[in-house]
Amino acid sequence: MRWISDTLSGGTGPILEVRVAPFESCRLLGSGTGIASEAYRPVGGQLASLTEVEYESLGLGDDILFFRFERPVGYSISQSSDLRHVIVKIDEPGSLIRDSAPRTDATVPAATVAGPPNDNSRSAGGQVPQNVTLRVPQLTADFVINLQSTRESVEQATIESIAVPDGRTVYVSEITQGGQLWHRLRLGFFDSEAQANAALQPLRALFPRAWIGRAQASEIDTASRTDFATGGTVIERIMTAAIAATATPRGTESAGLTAEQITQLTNAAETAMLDRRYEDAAGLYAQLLAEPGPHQQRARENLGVARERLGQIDRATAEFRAYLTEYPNDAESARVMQRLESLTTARMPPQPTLRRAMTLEESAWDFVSGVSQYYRRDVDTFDADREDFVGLSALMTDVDFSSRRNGSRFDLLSRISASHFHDLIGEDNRGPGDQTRVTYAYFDMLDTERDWSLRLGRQSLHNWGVLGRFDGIHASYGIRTDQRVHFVSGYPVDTTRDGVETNRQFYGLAWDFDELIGEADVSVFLNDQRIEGIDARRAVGAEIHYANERGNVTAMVDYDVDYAEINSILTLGAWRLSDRTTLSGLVDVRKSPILTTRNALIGQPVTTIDELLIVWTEDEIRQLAVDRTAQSTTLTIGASQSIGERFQINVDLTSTDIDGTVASGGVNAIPGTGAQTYLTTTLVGTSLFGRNDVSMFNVRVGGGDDFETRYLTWDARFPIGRRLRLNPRLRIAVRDGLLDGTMRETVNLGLRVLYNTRRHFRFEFEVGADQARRSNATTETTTSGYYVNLGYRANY
Amino acid sequence: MRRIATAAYLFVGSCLLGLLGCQSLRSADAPLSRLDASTGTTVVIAREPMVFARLDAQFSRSARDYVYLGPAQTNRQGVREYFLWIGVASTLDRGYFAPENELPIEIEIMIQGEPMAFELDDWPPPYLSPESANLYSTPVELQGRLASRITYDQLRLINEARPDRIFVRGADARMRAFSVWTTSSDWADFLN
Repeated sequence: MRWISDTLSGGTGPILEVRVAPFESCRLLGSGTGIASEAYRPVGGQLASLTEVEYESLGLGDDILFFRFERPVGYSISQSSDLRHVIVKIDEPGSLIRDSAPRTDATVPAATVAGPPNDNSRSAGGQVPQNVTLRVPQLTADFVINLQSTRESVEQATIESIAVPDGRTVYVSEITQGGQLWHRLRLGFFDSEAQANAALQPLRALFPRAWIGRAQASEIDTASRTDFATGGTVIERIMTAAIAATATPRGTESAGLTAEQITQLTNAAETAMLDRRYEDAAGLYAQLLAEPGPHQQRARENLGVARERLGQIDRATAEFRAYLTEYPNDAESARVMQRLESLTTARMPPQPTLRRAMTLEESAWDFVSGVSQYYRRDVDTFDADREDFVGLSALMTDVDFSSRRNGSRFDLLSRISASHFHDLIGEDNRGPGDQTRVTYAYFDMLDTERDWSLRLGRQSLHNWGVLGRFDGIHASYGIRTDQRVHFVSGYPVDTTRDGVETNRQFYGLAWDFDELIGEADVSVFLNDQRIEGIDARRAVGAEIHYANERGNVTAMVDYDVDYAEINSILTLGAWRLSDRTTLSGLVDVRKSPILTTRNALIGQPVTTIDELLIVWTEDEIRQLAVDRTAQSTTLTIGASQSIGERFQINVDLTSTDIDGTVASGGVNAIPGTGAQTYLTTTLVGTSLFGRNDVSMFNVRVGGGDDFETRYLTWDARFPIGRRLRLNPRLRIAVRDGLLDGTMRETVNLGLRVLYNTRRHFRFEFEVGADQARRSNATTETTTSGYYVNLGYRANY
Repeated sequence: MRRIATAAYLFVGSCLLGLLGCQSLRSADAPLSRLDASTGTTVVIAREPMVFARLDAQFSRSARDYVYLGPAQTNRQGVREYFLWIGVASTLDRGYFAPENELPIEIEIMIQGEPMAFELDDWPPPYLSPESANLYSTPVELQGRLASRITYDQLRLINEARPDRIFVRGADARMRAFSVWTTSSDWADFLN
């Protein structure tokens, strides 16, 4: 706000009037444009002989502060440097009035009192100065009765049925809410809710769902300037506007402007628009609309534009709708319709993403990249006279780069993700050696018009029988909006250290059906894989996915037709019983590893199938593969329960069993694990010690036929300001061997520090130590160690 | 080592019990009426606000955004005014692991089959001092306090509707849905 002028009226009860105005930037946001009035008696005001301060805004841009004193005072006034305060200094009692003349040439209007006395008003108790008129705080007269809200237009007969009380206005307000247009029949305006309630009582029978609300200043302003007849007369016309359009119907009595004056006003309005003085432009266009003539058409549209630029979307919408009502078949109507649609679309909530239609617009290339480097050092220390053992000392570098471009028809995407492990120990000192890995390296193309896509390169899939990472091709085509076919082919990748290995190849076909069984999506697939010229796997299978807002379930089966074995049956799901409680479950029965002919190499002294074929026949090799493949069964049920706003407890019960394998082909049998059961309880607490900290306590107990184990972990993250996070960790584990009497206890303690810069960079430092003790009936050994991890990540 | 493990179990167990006890930090003795001493205004509130929550699962499944809704009545020398008070909070580490959310500018509540929108302004209003900012005590530290000038009739309708969902509009015009977390029954005491 800026102080404009001040004046002090003398007399026995002097009143200091201070005129202030909002800055232009605030005015554009609506400040000072509404009718408002507030008054209060400041605590401690008697020290300055101040009895009351009143604030008045008549919506004309300038606002007035009234300071009422119980005696003549001298004063000085200034504005604070933060532009938010007006400082009034009052002289000591007995001082004469310093300045009673206005400080500007502006005419100071007589002070006006806003609104009739409030229903809640009561005379102030206690002794009051003799010459001061006491005022009580008053509410803004913005109470309105919402008689009815409908999706359909309000019928004339409904409005005519209303007996409008004196001094009130009936109008219809259109508003888009929840993405839908509502028509609200309203009766206003009242000084208090009690007044409104009294006026509503006779109308209750007609409008049983009526309610009393408070109207925005702009709504009051517009409704008050309409042509509606008031005071008991049936209205003649409905202003159907969210905030009613400037109500100047054609044919009304004009202000008598000459053609030259109209031209001048038009030019002034256009100049104001060009100068971005939209408030001035709106006022000028409103004047032009009051004068009948052909200029009104252009004025109506430009008034809507001015309102839009001022951020008054409801009023802009009203003007555009009024234009289309008055000029429905005009050549310019299409443009105005476009303007209206752009406003309406912008106010609707986000819609579900639809398949994009062809567009003539193309985007520029968009590049996203990330790089990280970490140094890690792991050291084992021993209690005997042994040197520390450096198990790991390496610099790990990861790079990820992707580029994207959305064209008018084709969307393009490429990605490469690679890492390099630089061993600082050296292979000569039994270090792992340098390693380079390529995790992803592919190119994508999507035809938005014909709905087909292609991905070529190193990629990863776990659908449709594909067993993970491969170098090859994935193509898909949308047959219909609810059906899609896929073709995959390539060379499986064992490890990202390897290049393209062509000794194994696969191809697969899949067909997706959306909502094939009720709302469940179904996919069927077949996958054929060969290794060094012989069949490795030939699988058929199906996947079912079902999801709604309550939960989701996924089921999958993979059957090898050559081996006549079920490779895997998987069912998992999560179901939300309430916003606080979720249940989850998993049943996973699978071959471990997945049954392929390549399993025959497990435990063999050779590395290729060709070498095995020297000794074994193909059928014998396939039998070896079966013998080397165990079956794994995992069952899990879990529950998650939120406790209050800050806690959540998760409980999971898991049972696993891995069968043993038989001895064959010179490879020994591997015994099964037997059934192992684990109970895990996790308690998560957020904002326990401050804002946004997280603590997680985890307890796990379990065991099998020959062992028992207990784990306890604590992992927390504490914010320190906006950029720093501390992440302490503690882990305690105990394992008891039931058959051999051994025990192993481990304690791990660590602290990680994370720091985010304002943009792009994150720095990380972690240090930790661990101690382990192994003991049995005769011996006990203790080992300890520490690790350091230091690095950064940058994203662009 | 076994003693360390045992001690650790006892420590953690005690912490669990203590933390669960700390859950009820929301005071059962929250005052219904308080005096804003600096301005001489009386403020009356309900005993507990309605609580709505929103999960941003891509960042966390245990931390959420929260919106607290509570009625408020101010009394300035007999002139009563009603507000729908809004408290905004989050247990998600926004600004670090998750993007920050701007304070909402509007709340939409479905009442009698009609979406009713309430524009929000800063709380407290100019005639209250900052000591009235935290109108309701909440388990999660508030990041913003807002309010909408409202009528008693509208507060009554909200209480009768007992909404299980509200929509919050941010400055970016996006609407986000919050589902009921707890529904206070104490508005009836306030309204009566």
